Amino acid sequence: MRRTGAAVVAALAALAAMAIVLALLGHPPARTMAILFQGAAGSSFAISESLLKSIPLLFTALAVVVAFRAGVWNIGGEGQFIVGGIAALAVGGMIEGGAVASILSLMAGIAGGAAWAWIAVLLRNLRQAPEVLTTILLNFVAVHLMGWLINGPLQEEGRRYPQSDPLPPESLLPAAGSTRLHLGIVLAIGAAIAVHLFLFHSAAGLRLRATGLNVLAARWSGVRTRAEITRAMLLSGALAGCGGAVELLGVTGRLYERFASGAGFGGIAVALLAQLHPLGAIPTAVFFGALSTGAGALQRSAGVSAALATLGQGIAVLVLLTLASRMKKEAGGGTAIFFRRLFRRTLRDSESAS
Amino acid sequence: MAFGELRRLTRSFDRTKAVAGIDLDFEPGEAIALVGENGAGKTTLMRMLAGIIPPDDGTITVGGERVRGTASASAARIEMVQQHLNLAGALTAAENLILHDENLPLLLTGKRVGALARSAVSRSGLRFTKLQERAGDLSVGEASRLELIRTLARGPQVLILDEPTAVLAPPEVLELTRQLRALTAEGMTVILISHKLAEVFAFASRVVVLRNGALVLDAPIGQTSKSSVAVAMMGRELVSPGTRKATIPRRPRLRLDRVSTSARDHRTPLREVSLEVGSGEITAIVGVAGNGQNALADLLRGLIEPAGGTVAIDGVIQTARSLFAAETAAHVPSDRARDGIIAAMSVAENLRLPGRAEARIPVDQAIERYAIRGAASQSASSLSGGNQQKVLLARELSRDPLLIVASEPTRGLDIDAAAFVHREFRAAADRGATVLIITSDLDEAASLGDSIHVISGGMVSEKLASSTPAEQLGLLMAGDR
Repeated sequence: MRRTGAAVVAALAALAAMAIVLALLGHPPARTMAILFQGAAGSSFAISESLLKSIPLLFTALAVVVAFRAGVWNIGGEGQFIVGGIAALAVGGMIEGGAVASILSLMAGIAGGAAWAWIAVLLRNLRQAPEVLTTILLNFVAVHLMGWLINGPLQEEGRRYPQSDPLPPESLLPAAGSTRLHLGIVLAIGAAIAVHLFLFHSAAGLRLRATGLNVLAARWSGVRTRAEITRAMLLSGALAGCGGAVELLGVTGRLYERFASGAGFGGIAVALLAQLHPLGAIPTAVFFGALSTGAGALQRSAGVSAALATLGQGIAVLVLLTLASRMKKEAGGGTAIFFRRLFRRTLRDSESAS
Repeated sequence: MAFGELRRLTRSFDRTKAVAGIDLDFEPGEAIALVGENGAGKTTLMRMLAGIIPPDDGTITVGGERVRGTASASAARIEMVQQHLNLAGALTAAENLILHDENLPLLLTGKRVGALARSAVSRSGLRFTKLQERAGDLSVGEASRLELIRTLARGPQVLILDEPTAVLAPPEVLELTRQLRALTAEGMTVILISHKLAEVFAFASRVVVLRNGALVLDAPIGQTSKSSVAVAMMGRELVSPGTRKATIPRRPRLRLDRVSTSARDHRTPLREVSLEVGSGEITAIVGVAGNGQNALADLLRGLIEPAGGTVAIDGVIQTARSLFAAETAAHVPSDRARDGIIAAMSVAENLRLPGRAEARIPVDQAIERYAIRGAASQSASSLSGGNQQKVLLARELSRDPLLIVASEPTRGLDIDAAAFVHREFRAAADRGATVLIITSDLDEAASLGDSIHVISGGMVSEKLASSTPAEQLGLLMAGDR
């Protein structure tokens, strides 16, 4: 209960901070905040757009939840998301359109994301390279890999823009009515429920969480902690990759430069605000999705930069971390503990590396 | 009135009393050894004297002045070298030496640093040649010498050393002991925290023994002996050995043949340990903590590979991998908080680890049977230490194991709970299990073990009868063989 309370306080603080910034910029906060709410949830179309935006965030947030719960710091959601998209496009483009193509494409995305995460896990297992760093760096590699592909082998037939050809429409995920909201929302929520059941209601999830909470005690009890970490990282990459595939099959249909547009990093914020709870990530992702949809509306009608949404997200996470550090004694360990441990381990790694 | 007076010093951490009303006097020029087992309160007592932590109750007076906090402690020139080195690994030894100097010049050239560092070294009276090396590249012995030089350069009147020899090689220990004696001859009070009796008797003019936060022995070194100090550290005289009769014909199950482990894995590795424990047999490995017990426990848990020799179970040579995977083995680690319990998880989750599919006793039954005071859904961190230990034992023993390796299994348990655990071990042995108890509790070793081995300096003694007198065990534990 306290954890939900903390998340709500953080969300409210974010909205308040946005209102203050709007006022400081000379916009009447009451009117502009109303536009924000209208744009985010004022109509069924607005709601569908907010939900649409939350889909990739939910996938990458689940990726973060799984990894962080195991004590591995997968900051590579962005890269895994992109590689998932690339794999989905490559496989989807090879097959005649249709449901089979969608499913194979989706599976390719899952495999692609996992493979990208596997590089980091391999470096960790073989050379003790801290995955905090390798996953961040692999993000850049993925961005440039995609950049090369859409300027080279996968560039559209006409070679005018740095983007791929779209997949045939019949390979894409079906949308609801006249909106853009597609089947991916069901997949994302299904994934959240599946991750929840896995983490909290399965023996494998127990082992994974034990590894994250106390790797020594987990090992003493008989858990193969290295295998757990590898598995968690692969699952994490798979979820992010699935997010990329769903985004490609549900929204963009093709690859272009701003394909991921920060979905991987947004996912970290969502996961933290959800305090690493897979079901909590659902409303949190929707909140973040709504923020950016609302900020988009604000940009169109009041000329306020849509970066306001990023500000709100940042404030929410900051407030939550401040609150979470006071909750450290609670079962499950607070988000703040994860950060302290992350910080300590990074220090230790850099110390031993030097 | 004595030069230094500690009166009724008391300090608790959470619910445990680390130091419970200790009085201690000392004079200039004394060489005092403060000994006791882990958790006896030695470090806490000395940290209070050095002003690092405040006492809950009691007073400290040195040279007529009250000591309250680090400022008055350094005014009274009380300095403490803590157990964990406080060096900045990326800086050079010279830079580390002057790091805490408050009157450094504004512009610090390499030459100036060198000059300041050399003067610090000469003030300490010790030698140090590797001033230009990075502290992180020094050996542990060199680093602890650097730390000592830094402390001595401040000209202490009272010098406290917290287990300085734990990381030193024997010749370095000898050298350090000699230097410390020279310092006391000049009027410095040196208090050495240790649990190694050999060095205590080489260094000290007076020995003070703590046990469970209380002072249990304070005697001039000439009026005591290693074995009586050992017995004072461990507590209680030996009681009559156990009465369990072996009912099952024993055949050797666990066999260690000249097993050594690597010094990379443990500070005190195993050295050519040979050991044989039969089915239905309880063997106690007894010794002062820090003498290779961790290496033995980690080896049998399958966390490290032996560097030499072989471990065999039922005649089959084992690797770390096979030992780790053995589902018929139960392991109770000595460091419950670090290796045993996952504090942030619930009691039920802790009992379910490692989540294997085979049948276990249900969680409710485990809680009832082991009289765990706590609910299944309660987080393990909210349990008392004794109840956490029960959770751990319930988890491990309910596997119905064929091999039990338990380190300090009854630490933190009250008498009833400890008796219950002992009954469980005996019952397991009666069912044919092989039980190895690694303990620093002589009573436990004698009452539970069918036989006893003493572990000291990574070596394990011959098999001894459980009726061996405490004095003889004390001598073996002190490393006199």
